[in-house]
Amino acid sequence: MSGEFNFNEVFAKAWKNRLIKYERARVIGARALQLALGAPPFIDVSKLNKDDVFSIAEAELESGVLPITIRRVYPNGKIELVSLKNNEL
Amino acid sequence: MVSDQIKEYVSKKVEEYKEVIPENKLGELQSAIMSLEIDITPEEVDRIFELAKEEYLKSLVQPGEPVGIVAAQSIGEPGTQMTLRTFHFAGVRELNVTLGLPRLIEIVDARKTPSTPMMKIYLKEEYKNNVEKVLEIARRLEYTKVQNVVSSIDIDLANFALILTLDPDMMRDKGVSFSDVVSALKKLKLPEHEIEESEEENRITITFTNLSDIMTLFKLREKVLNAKIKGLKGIKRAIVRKEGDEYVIYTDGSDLAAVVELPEVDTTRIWTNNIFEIQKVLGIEAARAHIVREIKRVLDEQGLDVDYRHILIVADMMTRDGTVKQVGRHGVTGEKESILARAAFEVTVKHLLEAAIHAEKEEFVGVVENIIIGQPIRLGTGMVELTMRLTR
Repeated sequence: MSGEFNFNEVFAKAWKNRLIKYERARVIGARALQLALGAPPFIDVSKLNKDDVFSIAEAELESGVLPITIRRVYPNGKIELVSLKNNEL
Repeated sequence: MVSDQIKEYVSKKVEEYKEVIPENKLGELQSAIMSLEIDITPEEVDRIFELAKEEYLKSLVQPGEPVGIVAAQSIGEPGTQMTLRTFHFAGVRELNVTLGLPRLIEIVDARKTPSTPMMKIYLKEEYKNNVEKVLEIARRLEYTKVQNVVSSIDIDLANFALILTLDPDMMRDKGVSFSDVVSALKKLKLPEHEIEESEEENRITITFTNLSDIMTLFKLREKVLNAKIKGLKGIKRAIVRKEGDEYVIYTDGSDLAAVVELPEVDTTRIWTNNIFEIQKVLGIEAARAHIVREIKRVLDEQGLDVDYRHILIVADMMTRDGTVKQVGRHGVTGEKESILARAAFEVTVKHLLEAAIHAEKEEFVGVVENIIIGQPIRLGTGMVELTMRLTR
C-alpha cells in the first residue's frame, strides 16, 4: 500500500454513515425482542402486521426513531458512537 | 475518441478518489475511460466515478465477517474433491513434479524442502536464444559426481589400487572431460597415493602406496565415487526446454542462493518451488507472494476455483511474523495467544499446566476461548455493542 493511503482513516470514513449488516441485524433483533415482550412501538403500526415484530422493528429503524446508540470499537481501540436517531443511514 | 479536456478531467478525478479506491483499480477505470470510442461529458465522468465508488464500497467485506473461517472452508471444501495421490508428470523429460493435494499439504505445512524441489531458470537476453550456450550452462549446473561418469570401478587387492573405467558416452552427456575427472580426484584428500592416467583407454588407476587395510580401501572407493566434479549441490539434473522463443533450464533439485549468483541468469524471472529458499534469498514478502502463487497454481491445476483473497489470508497468517510458519502444531495454531484455544487444539493438559506454571492470562478475544466458556463470540452480530437511552 502506498504511503498516502491510510487504511484506518479510509476504513473509518467508509463506514461513517453506513450500518454494517451485523449492526442492522443486531438492532432489529434487539428491538424485535422488546416489541415481542410488549414494548409500545415508536411508530404508527396500523398499516403493519401487529404480530410481525421484525417488520415493525425494521420500520422503526428505517424511520430513525429508535433511541439506540451503537458503540463501535475499531481495531486500533478507537471508539465511535453511532446514534440511530434521526440519522440517514 | 475521448477529448484531451476530458482526459485531463479524468486524471484529476483519479487523484480525488485515491483516498477511497485503491490505485490499481483506479488505473483500470482510467484506462477503460481513456479507450472509449465516444466522447463523454464531465457530468458522465462524475457519475462513473460515483458508481465505481459505490460498487467498490459495496464489494468490501463487512467488518465482523469471519474471514479466516470462510477462507478455511473455501479452501478446505474444494480440497476434499482433489484426487488424493496425483503425481503429475509434467511432461518434461523424466522430471516429475508433486502437484495436487500432496503439494497443497506441503505448502501449508511449510516443509523445509519440497518432496520434488524444482527450478525454472530463465537466462538473460544475450544467452536465451543460443541453444549451445544454454546447454553449456545447464551442464555446468548439474551436480556431477565421479560415480555418474564411470562405467566400472575395480579394486585391485594385491596392489591396493582403485581402477576407474570412465564411460565416454556419459562424459559427453554430462559435459565432463577426462582432465576434469582427474583434477577432481586430485582435489580429494586421499592418503598417500599415485594417480596413473590413461586417456586412450579411459582409465584412471589410483594406487595407494601406504595402505594395509582392505576395509579402508573399500571406504576410499566410496569417497572417490562421491567426489564432486562440477555443478551445484542439490541440482540433480538440468534439462533445457524451448519455451516460446527462448530456451529455459528446468532443474530437478533447487539451490536458489547459488543460481542467482550466476552472471547468465535472469534473476527477475527465476523460479523455484522451495519456499524457504525464497524466504532466505529474497525475503519474507517474496515468500508470501510465492505461497499465494503456489496454492493458486495447485488449485487451478485441478480445476478448482477458489477466490484469490482466501489464499491471501492463509499466506498472510503464515508469514505475518517475518518467517514462514506452518498452519498447524508448530506454527499458526500452536503459537496462538490464547491458552484455551491452544488447549482445545492438542495436548490439552500440557498447555493448561504450562499456562498455570507461568501464570499466563486469558484475554478472551478470540473465538475458540469464548465458545469454551459459553460466551458470545466477538464476530458478526456478537461484535455489536448497543446502548439505549430513553429521553423524553
